[in-house]
Amino acid sequence: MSTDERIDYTLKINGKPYKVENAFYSENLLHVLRYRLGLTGTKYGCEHGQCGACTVHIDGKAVCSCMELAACAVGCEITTIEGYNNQDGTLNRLQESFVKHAALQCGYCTPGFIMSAAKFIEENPNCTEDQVREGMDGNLCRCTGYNRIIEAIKEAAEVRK
Amino acid sequence: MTSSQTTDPNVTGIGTSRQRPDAVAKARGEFEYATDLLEKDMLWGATRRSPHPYARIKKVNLNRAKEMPGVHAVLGAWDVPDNRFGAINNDQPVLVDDYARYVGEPIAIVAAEDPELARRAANAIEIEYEPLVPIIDPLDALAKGKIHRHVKYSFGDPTVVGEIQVEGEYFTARQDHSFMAPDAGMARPDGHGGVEIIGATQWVHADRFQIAASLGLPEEKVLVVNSGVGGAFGGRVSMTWQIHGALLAMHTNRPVKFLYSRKEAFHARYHRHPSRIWIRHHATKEGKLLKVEAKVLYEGGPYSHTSAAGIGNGCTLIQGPYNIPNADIEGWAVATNNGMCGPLRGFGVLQGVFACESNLDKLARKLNMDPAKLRAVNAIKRGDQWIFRQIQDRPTPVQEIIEKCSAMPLPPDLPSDEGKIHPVHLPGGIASPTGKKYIKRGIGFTSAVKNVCLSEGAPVNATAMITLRDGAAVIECAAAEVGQGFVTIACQIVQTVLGISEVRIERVDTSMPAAATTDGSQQTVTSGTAVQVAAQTLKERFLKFVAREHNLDVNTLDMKDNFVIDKTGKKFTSIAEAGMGLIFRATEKFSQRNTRPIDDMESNDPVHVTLGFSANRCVVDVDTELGLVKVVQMDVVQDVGRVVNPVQAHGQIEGGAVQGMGLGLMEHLKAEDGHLLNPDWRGYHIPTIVDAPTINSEFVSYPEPGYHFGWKGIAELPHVQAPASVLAALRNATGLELPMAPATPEYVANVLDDNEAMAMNVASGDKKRGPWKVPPPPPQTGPWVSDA
Ligand code: FES
Ligand code: FES
Repeated sequence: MSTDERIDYTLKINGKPYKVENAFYSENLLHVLRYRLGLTGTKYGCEHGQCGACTVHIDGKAVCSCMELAACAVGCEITTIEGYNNQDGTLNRLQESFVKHAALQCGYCTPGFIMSAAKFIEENPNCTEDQVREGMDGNLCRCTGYNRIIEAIKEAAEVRK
Repeated sequence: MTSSQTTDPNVTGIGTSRQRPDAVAKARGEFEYATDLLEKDMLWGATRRSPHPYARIKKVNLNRAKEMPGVHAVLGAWDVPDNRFGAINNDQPVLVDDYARYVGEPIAIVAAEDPELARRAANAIEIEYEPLVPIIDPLDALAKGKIHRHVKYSFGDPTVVGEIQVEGEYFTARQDHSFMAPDAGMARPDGHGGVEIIGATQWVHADRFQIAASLGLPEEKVLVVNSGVGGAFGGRVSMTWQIHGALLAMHTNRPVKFLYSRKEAFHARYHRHPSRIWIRHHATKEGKLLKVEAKVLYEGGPYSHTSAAGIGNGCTLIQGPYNIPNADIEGWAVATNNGMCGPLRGFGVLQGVFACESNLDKLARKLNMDPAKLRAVNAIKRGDQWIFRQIQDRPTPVQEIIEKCSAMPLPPDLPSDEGKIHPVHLPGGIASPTGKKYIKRGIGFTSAVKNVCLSEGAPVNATAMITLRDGAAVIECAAAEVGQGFVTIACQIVQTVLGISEVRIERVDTSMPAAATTDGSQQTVTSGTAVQVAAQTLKERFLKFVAREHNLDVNTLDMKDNFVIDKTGKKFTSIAEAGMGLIFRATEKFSQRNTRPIDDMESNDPVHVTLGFSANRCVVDVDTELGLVKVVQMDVVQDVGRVVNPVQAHGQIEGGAVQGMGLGLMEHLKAEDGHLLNPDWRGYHIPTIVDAPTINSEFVSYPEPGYHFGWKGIAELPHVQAPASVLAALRNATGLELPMAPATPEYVANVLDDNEAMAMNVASGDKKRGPWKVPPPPPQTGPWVSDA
């Protein structure tokens, strides 16, 4: 396909169909989510897969949406922070833990961290600090120095007896 | 001080770890940042930038871009009513007209219906350049007299000679702010001949002044709004896209959005001044410091920006938090074509402290003295004189800080059984090729000083307005929230003063009176104090009203726990009811004490409003073959005055320490022939969750005089001293001199290999050892205009 080609397609995001019209084939999912569909909870940090601010779930996996061509995500189940959030406006356990431990300052990295950590703690209940460090290595934060993010994720991963 | 390490939405007032007011929105991804702004009918902006570090512009032809479908405006330098702006001096073109002086300098701008179209149109602009030879070596710039500012002063008897002398030359690299949210925002016509700029900034009022001037509009025709700011760290002190956006919005009569790519942000913005400092300490055999001599060279960009303030900070606080009776100091900020330089957390001070602390390490080794002890022996005390002719007239717990930090518990050794070490603890991290037998542990100790507030005659003041109605207060104060937590503490201050729990702070824009810039760790002590004074005035007005209405003596009344109380603490009536539905309001301005430029010999004002102190002990594990480093732990003790929000204060220390560790180990924005070599996060690495050490922070807390609640600015110190501390630990582990930050693996490995050529491979500069010879500076300082 040429770089000038424009196409229409439908993405399934947070359980709902979203029509994308007249988009360049080359547009990545992050751009389409944010600027064509207005789903700006997913953050734009580097657009080259280095920071994790753009993390979404595609078919149950946490991925950097800036590294996915939007047109190739047709047919996938995409979940963004908007769909992951409790729909009544409250915080879930992981988000509450971030807030309680002051794991955010400017907060720009936070939605990406939440989306990555949600998958991470699903797969690593009762994780240790070392496991958090290893498993969350794809997300950058410039404000907090990470200590509180680790605390927050560890506490959220504790399985209640 | 003991403090709870978690936040709570229900606690109120000064001294509690109240939860940030924006925390819930941020955790749900609903907090709106400048990058998120969208508007119906908006156009997208794009910028055409210079590919040359130095070139004459021979021709700019916009026509091809203008003819492209979907393009609404293409503008060049001649479309800018006043084409010079700047953070301090107006010496920087909004769009290049004659000479491009750094790679990435904007030349033309476009507004189009789609970001891709805008980019393509920008590329379609035809520009003819005559490339010229750039200045890339700061020593060269110095020799050619390209000097933004020259500082020279001495103190005491500069001829004193110490029994013991140590000298060295130290370097720090160009560091990028790398805040997470790239430059972005929206410009829109206001429908009445003016323009609104909604973006991310550290000071809305400074932006408005410059935008209005460049557009030739009266200031009231420009409204600057701060939307959510995704980190700043000094990087949003001056503007990037804002004037461009305003011009395009006025030309198209449509909202125009700008959004920089990460790479574009690296080129468009400024960075920390790379430094080259020669320093010599004179001391007695017992380790008492007698004199400091230094030649300080900061590499500024081609335009003056804030270089003058940066070199001033460096040339004064190179003293460190030590009492030194004699000094001879000279420094220059010079102009090269390697890109713009400006403030970054710890502005100008970090480089000086790095040189000072590194050389004191050398002195400690020479004297065979414990580095913490050497520092404690020389700790500056209240009543001592600084070398820049200022009395240290406020609490000065330097010795206490040093002793407290040395006494903090050390981390355990790596387990002797290699199989038990999780890879995140290894130098080099996950997948590291290191092995335990190559790993050596090192411990470094440093202390540091940082000025709080802008210095050297810069006016520092803020105005705040508070409204009380039905027992709830609203704060209007134009201090920029960039993540540091001013919004939390402003509310806590009002809660304490007015004795109420419901307080909210408004979003910041230029329709409010000006507050201080979020800069120099000054927001709590300046805008926070303005909020406190306004709340105090409001309280007096309110109680006077209550006393009159109820025929009481105002002196018997107070406000607490949402009630008006009497002297005995008996609740009289709720504050909400006592206000009888009326609106009470107070506006107050607070100004910091005046300061004077270093070389003003007449005035007796201080150079710095006040100074903060800290100590940092750093523990590292080093692979002595490969140069890989793992920072294991940093223990920080900081002089914090009265703490408003303990968790936020710890958070500032942790974040700052890790950012400083970045410059200590990995952050090196390299330039070659004026071109940045690694302008994105693939090539420019910032600390990850694996790199970050455990950070333990403790406070030393003496109320700072001059402020009712005795608070102090804290945000920069942890960053200022971390690079010095990391390097001190590395020297301790390896026995090497390591005069440069960052100590990247290749750098350490090459020094280990005795590969001197590689070892001194600083971004710009040669291997000549200082103090280097320089010609006398020309009478005219400031950015040069080429006579080519
Ligand atoms: S924006 Fe996708 S990884 Fe940074
Ligand atoms: S909180 Fe600012 S980047 Fe993480």
